[in-house]
Amino acid sequence: MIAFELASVSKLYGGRRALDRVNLAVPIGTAVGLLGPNGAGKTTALRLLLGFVRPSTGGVRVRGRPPSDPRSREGLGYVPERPAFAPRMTIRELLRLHGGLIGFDGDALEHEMDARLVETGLRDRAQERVGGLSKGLLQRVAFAQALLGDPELLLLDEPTSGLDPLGVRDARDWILAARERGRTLLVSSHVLTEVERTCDHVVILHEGRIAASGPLGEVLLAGESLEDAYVRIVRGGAGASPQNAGISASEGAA
Amino acid sequence: MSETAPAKRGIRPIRAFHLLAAEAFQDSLRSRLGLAVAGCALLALVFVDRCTSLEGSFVLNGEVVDPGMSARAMGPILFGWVSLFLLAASGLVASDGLARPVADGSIALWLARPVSRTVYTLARLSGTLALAISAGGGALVAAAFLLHARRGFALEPALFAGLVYAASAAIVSALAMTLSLYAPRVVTLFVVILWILLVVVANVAHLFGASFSGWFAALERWGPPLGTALLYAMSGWVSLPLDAHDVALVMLRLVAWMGLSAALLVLSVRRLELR
Repeated sequence: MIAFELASVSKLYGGRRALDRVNLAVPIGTAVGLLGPNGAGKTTALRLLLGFVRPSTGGVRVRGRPPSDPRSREGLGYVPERPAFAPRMTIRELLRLHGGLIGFDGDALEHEMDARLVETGLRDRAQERVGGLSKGLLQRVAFAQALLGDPELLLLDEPTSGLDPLGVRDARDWILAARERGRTLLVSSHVLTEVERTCDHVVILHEGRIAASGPLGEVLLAGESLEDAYVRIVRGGAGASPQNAGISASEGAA
Repeated sequence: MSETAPAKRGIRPIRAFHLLAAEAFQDSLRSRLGLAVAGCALLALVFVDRCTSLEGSFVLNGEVVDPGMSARAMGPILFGWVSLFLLAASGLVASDGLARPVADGSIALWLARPVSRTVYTLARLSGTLALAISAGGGALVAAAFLLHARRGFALEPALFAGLVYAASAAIVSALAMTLSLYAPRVVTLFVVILWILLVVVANVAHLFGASFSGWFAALERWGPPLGTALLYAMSGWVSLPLDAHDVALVMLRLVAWMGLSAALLVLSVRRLELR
């Protein structure tokens, strides 16, 4: 079954084309790294899947449902690139509300909140207001709310942004743990080494189009690192690499 | 993690609405605008307290106004002014209630949950409206009791006027929220206050026999009858002869505007792109 699907999707912001006829299908249980230079369309792709923006043309589905259907976001966790929360709420209040919105209540909610606070190292800061937290702590709060209820699908937009080395390691552990549990991950990132460690498939976007996609082993040439492959593909232009000529965007992460 | 994850129940729209509306209420309460609305309510109450304590006669154009007439007019004038002042305050709190989460981006994480934009929007509206009505309603209840205790005004018209205030606050809040998605807060507030004044002037002038043409006539005829409904509600204080059919139509128009303004707000949010 397909978790995330973009079918011939284009997205225009005014006259600028953020995505251009992108086909992408992410099967359930895969961990896909979404790569590309700034402005390549990575965040736009995630926002389309969440229903934050509408496609100019084409179709978007999350587990077979359009993003306009709230049920498409059941069992979905999201870490935004720049987490923004109601600043006057405490971390605990924030998690309580998010937990309530995904169906937890009573003791189950308290239990789940405590577990996520411990997991993300926020237990001792649970009563602090979100507005006073550093960027790194905000990112931890973003992970804590995204991991509530052990969601089947995780959309992570620059998940290690603003984290210190220990935070990066923790984030990697959370992502790997989710992957080991068979969760579907779509991770947009500039940190290629992290993507290489946490994902088994990659999609490289360039100027709104898919330049390459597929299992890591197929996208990388023998002995090549992901960074080398990325530079080769992006500098070479979409479809310029013989390695990628055979990769159908619609097969992409499949 | 998964081995300790406890069972959860499915989320229902009504439960999501309750949770988000409570959050919106607390969010407004904690904001500076919440304090401002409470201040407005207190100011209105002090105004009523001072006015109902006044003794002596009124002089208009050099002539002493009939004491009986000025005493009868005090209730509707005071209550009407206070209601309109509090309506503007509800516009103030609403101008921030949705625009802020959109501007700071916090709306994104709520909408990443299985919550429809309709539920989220109506919850934000209800939460901010609850704050405005709590503060405004409290001030109006106190004003009604002051008028009753000190000047002998009946409580029933104040109750009807309070209900009209609540309905009008819903309209003003929804329209202010809608406008706040497209305009800065200061502009929103200015437009809302100007619009309330225009509507009320048109309504009151029409009741006293004035006739208009053009957009002003359309505003009076088809706009939300904020002034007309308020005066009709307080008619028991001034023995205003009313046609029951006319009253029913005005109240129906008020209710229709409640639905229309909320629908306009929901439609605007549904069309909003969160970039």
